[in-house]
Amino acid sequence: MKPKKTSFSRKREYFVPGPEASQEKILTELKEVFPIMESVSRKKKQTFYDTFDYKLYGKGLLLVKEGRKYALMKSGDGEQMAALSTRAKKTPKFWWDFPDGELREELSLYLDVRALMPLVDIERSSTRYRILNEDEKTVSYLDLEEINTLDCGGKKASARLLAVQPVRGYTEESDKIAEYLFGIGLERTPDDVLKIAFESLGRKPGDYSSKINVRLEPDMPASTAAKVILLSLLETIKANEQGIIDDIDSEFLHDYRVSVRRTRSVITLIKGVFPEKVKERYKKDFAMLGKSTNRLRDLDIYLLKRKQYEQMLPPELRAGLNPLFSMLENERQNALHEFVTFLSSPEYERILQSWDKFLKDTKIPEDGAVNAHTPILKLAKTHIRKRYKKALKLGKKIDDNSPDSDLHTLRIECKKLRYFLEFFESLFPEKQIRQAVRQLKALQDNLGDFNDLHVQQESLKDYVSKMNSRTKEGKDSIISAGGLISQLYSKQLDVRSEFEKRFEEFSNNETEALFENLFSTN
Amino acid sequence: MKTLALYSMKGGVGKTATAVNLAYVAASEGSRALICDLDPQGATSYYFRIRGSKNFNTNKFVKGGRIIDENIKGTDYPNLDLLPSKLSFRNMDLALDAMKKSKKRLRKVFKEVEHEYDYLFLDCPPGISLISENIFNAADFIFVPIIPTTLSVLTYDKLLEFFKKKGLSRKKLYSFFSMVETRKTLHNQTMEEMSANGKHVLNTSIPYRSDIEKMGVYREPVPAHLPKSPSAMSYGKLWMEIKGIIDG
Repeated sequence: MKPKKTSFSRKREYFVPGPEASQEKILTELKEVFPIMESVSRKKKQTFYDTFDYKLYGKGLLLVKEGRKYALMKSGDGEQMAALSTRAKKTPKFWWDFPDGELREELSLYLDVRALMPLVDIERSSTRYRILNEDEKTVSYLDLEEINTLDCGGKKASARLLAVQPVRGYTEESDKIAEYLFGIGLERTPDDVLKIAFESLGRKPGDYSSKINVRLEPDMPASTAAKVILLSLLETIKANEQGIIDDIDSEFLHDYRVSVRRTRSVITLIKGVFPEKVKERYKKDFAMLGKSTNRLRDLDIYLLKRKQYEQMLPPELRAGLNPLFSMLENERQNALHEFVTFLSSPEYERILQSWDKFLKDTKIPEDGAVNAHTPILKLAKTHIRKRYKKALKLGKKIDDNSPDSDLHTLRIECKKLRYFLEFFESLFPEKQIRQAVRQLKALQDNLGDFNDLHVQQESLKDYVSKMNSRTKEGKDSIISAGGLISQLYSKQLDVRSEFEKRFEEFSNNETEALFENLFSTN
Repeated sequence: MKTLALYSMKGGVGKTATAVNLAYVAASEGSRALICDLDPQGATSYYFRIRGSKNFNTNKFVKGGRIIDENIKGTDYPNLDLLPSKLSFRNMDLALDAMKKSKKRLRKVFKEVEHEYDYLFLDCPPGISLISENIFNAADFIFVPIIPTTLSVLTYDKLLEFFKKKGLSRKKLYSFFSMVETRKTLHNQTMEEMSANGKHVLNTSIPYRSDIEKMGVYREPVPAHLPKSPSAMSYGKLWMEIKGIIDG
């Protein structure tokens, strides 16, 4: 069938009755002014799904399961984007777990490598009333809804909702009803059902993001500002623990690691903000946290690349990768178990607790922290400018003959610069700082790809050296891994040849002027 | 969108009742349906309790464009909309005559809504004129209700002649028996003869029944008011047969 297109906008308006206004009371009042007929009552159970970081809701979309049917719809007017009826008992986790079709296709645009999780179960009982005109023609629908919500943690809450839905060609009449409801003290709400359900639980959809979301004031003492940033990072660290333990998807660990790295950067790179003793202690702690996740993350990346790797090889060589991947899978299980054990150890709890206590202490340290009182804007500018200059100096020395290690050093330096831009984003004009980040990101992507390809080849070589070349399986596997290494190498050369152009964009007069303009301390 | 016209030269043969009830059945199956009430008497609009807007008239209608969309009204039933008629539709011949390509004007007007609906039902005024010719051009299928009497059959023959004369394709022309009273020998005889001779005569016929006639009193489609009645069943059956023809 053709796509369902209507030029008529079904403008549905929502109202939230106040706590004292019962549905009966509202109806009685309405009935005095408008002829009303009750038509049908309905009950439905819906489960809402999204990724941990609300990839769908962030784009104004809702994924709802009702009975056997999944539907992806717009959160405002409920327009359906795609649907699927399935008899499968298991809930698909990733977009690629859905059967071929429009729903899978749509989801692939938004979900990336994140898993879908049930957010809330909602039971909606609604009664539909028809509002009639003098010909007893229905001109508007009034839906009274009771929304009972149960979140995944077992918390319960309920909310009530009134919706006015105009019949096509009779919007004026619906406007009158909406006005009337507003007049008797009902509040108009632009909210969608998910938001209402969440709010009844005291939550907000979209309450997690891996981005650093802090507002700093230019004259904040540097040590206070650093603590604000670090507290936000600590929240992200804690928020991702459960997802790692439950092994929901690879991105919990990824976000966890990024926050740990960022924490380390703040501690080590902003000089003179915290007392030396404190600095040394937590530098060590967070270095250890970071290190304990390295192998697990590497393995996650390999496993995510499985499809891509297979497609690089001729079909007959693909099976040769199976032993490699089952080995990686096993190794990952062990690495995960090890890290999860660590997450629940007293040692881990101690580190995070004392860190939390330190950050929540608002006293500005006096002992040996020379920059503790410096206004953060001044410190931020000095640091970012210094890092940019250093990255330029390193990058300008790189030519076609430079060893891989030079690119590695530049990559690390760029990462530090990126963190600083993100930490202090709220201190600078949004548009310009975004532009600076964009230029840097293009270069970082190039350096990152180069490094990933390098690391992948090294670990494949290591794998090959361990394989038994006397068995058939071993031989096949060596051939496949060899094929893959040569493919990765040729990709790495392509990426390397792109470097010059990326760096030119990062170091040209225009970008230099942008950085100078933003971060000059004069 | 498929355009289906309910047409007859004669009045009072069941065009409106058929258009209303078929459109209702189509919509209740989940198809998006629009009825366009072309008859200035406005019986269809009356059945649905819908009045056209004050600023809508025949000139605006034949001009087409956004105004069509703005004047479509939702009925009390899901998926079923109506473009109501206005008394000024009685002057539609004149309005059409003033337009370029006056015989194909309506086809152009309905293009406006072709992506919104699966089926467009045209409830046509009786007579044979410029509007009728427009309808013949706009419709993908034309269904002619026939009361099985000698006179009705003669009128149908005249229609066939008209099609031949104007070089119109008779392929889209279908007829079915309407207001049939099986206790009348004449009805039975006529039906037998016509079915034996004519092509494109549908198997399903609509009986003469008071619950259909009373639609003007309860002002609802028969299957909405009396879902289990034999009349409702016969419209359901007729729609099944018509859908078979449309889907080829």
